[in-house]
Amino acid sequence: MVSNVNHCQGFEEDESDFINFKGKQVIVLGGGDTAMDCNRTSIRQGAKSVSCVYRRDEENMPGSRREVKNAREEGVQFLFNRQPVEIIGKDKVEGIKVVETVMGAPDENGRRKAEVVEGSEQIIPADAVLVAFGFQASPSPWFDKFGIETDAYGRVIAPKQGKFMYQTTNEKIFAGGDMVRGSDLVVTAIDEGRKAADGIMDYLDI
Amino acid sequence: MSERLNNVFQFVEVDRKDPKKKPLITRKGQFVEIYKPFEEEVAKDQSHRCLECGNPYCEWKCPVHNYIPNWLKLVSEGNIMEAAELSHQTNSLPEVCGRVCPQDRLCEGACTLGEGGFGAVTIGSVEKYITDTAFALGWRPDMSKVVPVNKTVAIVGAGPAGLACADILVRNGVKPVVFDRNPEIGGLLTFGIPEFKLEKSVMTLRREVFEEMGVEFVLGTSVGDDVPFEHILEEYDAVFLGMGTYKAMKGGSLEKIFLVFMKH
Repeated sequence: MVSNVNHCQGFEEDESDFINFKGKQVIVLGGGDTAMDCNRTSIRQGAKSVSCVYRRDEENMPGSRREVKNAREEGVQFLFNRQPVEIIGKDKVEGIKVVETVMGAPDENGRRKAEVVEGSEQIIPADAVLVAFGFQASPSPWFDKFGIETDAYGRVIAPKQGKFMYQTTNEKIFAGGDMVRGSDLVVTAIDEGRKAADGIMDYLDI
Repeated sequence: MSERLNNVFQFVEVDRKDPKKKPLITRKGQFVEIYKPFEEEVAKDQSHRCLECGNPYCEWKCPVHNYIPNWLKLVSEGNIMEAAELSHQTNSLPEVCGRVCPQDRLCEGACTLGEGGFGAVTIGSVEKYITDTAFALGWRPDMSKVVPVNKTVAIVGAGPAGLACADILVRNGVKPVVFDRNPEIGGLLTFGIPEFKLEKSVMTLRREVFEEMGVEFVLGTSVGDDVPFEHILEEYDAVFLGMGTYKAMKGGSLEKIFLVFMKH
């Protein structure tokens, strides 16, 4: 995704950074908004086919329904209730092995879990596989040196309920957005940035 | 128009209507936004479908609690500048949220009309329409009453969190200086979300607006590499980190897939 933006916008530093799926059979793994972005970018690059493989059913997809509809209109095929287990191919991708799933009981967040159906393995051919399972925290190596503590997942500790909203363990430093909460919506990052500004102004006694 | 403004049954008589999409041939081949802008009359007609519920669920569901029924009413009455001002009271990037928020899970999913089977108000499209139209008409945030307080805050990361933080600070007289390793602002808005959902010109215009408001950007500069963090901590009154998450999640046994994909 990043390389495509750089390519389209003239920010590209090295031509070999650009990944092109023209004429390829593309499989995208995941069911969120990033997966839809990958699907639809592949279509626009001229992929021969684009299939989106997701382990739950359509009802339990996490992303925006509007974007799923748009992806489908543009020619993306959806393969629901299929959990990827293995990549097939030696020197290059030849396909992906999946197992079928059925929807089980809801988890603590109310989302139904995908349960694997024994003996349902199948192989879907592909020239390229894109993994869109989301992002996890990527704390900078210098955080330690400045007393910026992170939790077990590498997220910066900056609670909303602190003395000053979104203050880190270094009193002069505040933090918000994905690096504090883990990857989430644009609008939640905006909310946290705004509240952190209030925290900063309280701290500076403005 | 006056007839419409007196029509309390607009939501029955006028169906929910999304902005028109560009033809599929364009969508499949080009990296351009797929939705055409609302036309003025359609935006007004759609906005007036709002019931003005006494307890607006849309507003509660929205993470920044936008004053949705209030700005829908302003659009319906043709007061676009006032709508833009109000929209910016709760949101630093309303034109972005209008484009990329999953409205069907948030405001529109909570709309009373949707629950009643009439089709939710097209809140997201109106939100986008307000700021796009106001900007085109020359509207800019009113900074005339801002009094400088002689404080500067460094912000690391020009993504939505950092930009929102800068917006609130600068409106309160604090000077924000925003550092980002990329050559343009936006973070994932620019370098992650594709153009078919959010064209890059949106963030370019937003950068100009922020600069006019007094936000300073230091782009193409990686904090920790190009500028030592020590200097930033010393020079500024406080620091905000909004650096996002960039490590791709791998799925256990699927780790191999990602590596294979990266090479080809």
